[in-house]
Amino acid sequence: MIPVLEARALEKSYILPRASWLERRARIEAVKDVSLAVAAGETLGIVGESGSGKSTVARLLMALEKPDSGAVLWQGEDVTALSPRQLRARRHGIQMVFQDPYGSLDPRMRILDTVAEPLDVAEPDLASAERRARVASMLERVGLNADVLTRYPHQFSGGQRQRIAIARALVTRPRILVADEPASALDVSIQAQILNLLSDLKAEFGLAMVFISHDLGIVRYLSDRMMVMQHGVVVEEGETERVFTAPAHPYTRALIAAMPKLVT
Amino acid sequence: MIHRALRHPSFVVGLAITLMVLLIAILAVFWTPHDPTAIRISARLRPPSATNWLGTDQFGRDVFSMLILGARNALLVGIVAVGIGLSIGVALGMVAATGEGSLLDEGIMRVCDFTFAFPAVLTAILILTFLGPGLVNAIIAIGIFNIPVFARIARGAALQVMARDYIRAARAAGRSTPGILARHVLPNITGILIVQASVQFALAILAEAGLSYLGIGTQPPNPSWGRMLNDSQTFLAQAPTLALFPGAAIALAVLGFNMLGDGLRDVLDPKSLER
Ligand SMILES: Nc1ncnc2c1ncn2[C@@H]1O[C@H](COP(=O)(O)OP(=O)(O)O)[C@@H](O)[C@H]1O
Ligand SMILES: [Mg+2]
Repeated sequence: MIPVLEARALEKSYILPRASWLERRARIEAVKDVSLAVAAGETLGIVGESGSGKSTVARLLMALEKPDSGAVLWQGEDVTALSPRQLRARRHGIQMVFQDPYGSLDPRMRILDTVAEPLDVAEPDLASAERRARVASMLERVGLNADVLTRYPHQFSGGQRQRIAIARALVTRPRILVADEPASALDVSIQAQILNLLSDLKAEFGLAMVFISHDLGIVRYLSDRMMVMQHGVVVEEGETERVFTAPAHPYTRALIAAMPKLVT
Repeated sequence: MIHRALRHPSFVVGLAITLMVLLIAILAVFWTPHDPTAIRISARLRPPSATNWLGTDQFGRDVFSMLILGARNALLVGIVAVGIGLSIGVALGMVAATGEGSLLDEGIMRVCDFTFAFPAVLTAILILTFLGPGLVNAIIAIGIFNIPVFARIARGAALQVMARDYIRAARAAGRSTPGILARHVLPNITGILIVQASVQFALAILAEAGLSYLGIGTQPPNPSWGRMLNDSQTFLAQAPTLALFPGAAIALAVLGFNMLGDGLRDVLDPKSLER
């Protein structure tokens, strides 16, 4: 069976602006030789400390950035080779939830238009009543009522904003969702709500998911398989339970040892 | 936001002055107490009176009528010149930001740097020596030196906006680059542009007055504050109010737009909009 999402030998480096004319430009290899595959309905967890390249992988998977080399395949099709127009036409099938709900919603746009944006591109001829109805029903599904439609992001809390961001990501019924630390910017009390919501939606819509986190406990709770990243490299990969019970790489063992234990 | 605006002193004062100048200018389009071009040598250099509220000039023309028609010309210059700078400058700035670091971006920004190297009024004088004197040409000249100002501001603000996740989200939603610029970037840089526009408006009024003072702006008999000021110099001893009124008009209008811009800067601050 073809994976719904695949990455082959991704490489990505960034050239930093130099601090002075005399300096050489520093180069950061953010992602080195990363390959992965996600089957339909499956959740792949990616863990790693801050700066290990997780968000860069997410942006590459979303084709928001071009890899220096390697390929990204959506439903078996190499999207690094597509024209911008062809790429845009396929975007409704893969969506993303960002880490910071304060940065991922346009402050000047009504919630209705923000959530409808992927729909507007995918189905530009949709009647406005139908458009509104679809947005409202998706907002309802994530736990918000229709009176939010005409409001603006600054009127909502972080948790509510993340719900809005999730509604936008799912409004076109994508098969793949990339969630980049969707709860880590939120209050601890809100985190569980958002994670449970994602877990429910995953089951309900049969989503394949790439779930990124620096919290191993959350990854264990949500993913079927997991990858551990360090300095842009995948150091371990496998069934989630196998990785937790028999970690092969020293770095994985260190991460697991550092996990907070439940005090009983 | 409106509540905060109304409590902001420089915004309120600036807005009041600006609206007053605007109303007077609109009024002047339809009505002036006297024909501002009618010469009556018999009534030269009259002091303010019931018939000529602000007196008459060396040709016996009604100063009040000239002054309010001058307001119309000053605003006309401001609106059109800032409009030229805003439309072309913002388009260039957003194109430059989209291709950050590209040859096009470098090219646009180097041309802007180049024009900044010349003092604005000197540039305008230079342009007017090529185009010839006149109100329309003055507007074009002032408009041209507004372009790089807006190009640079728009580019900087657009770059900041384009680094935000909501731009990535829009791209992930399938929006094209022009779509993102129109729907997300432009609305989010409008506040900064409005603030700059009011400052540029004040500068444009000052520039028109300066060019007309030098005789290469608005041409007679079309009245201009700058030329009224110049004409008044010869008669400063006989009729000191002749210099006072256009001078005060220029100062008030410039002050009004500057205060408005200053107030808008605070009122439209995106940080105060958040949460
Ligand atoms: N746009 C960028 N420009 C320069 N460096 C970047 C950029 N994005 C990421 N990096 C660098 O790449 C490395 C990986 O970053 P990131 O993918 O954000 O890691 P993570 O999400 O795991 O914290 C970091 O060292 C980061 O500083
Ligand atoms: Mg990250």
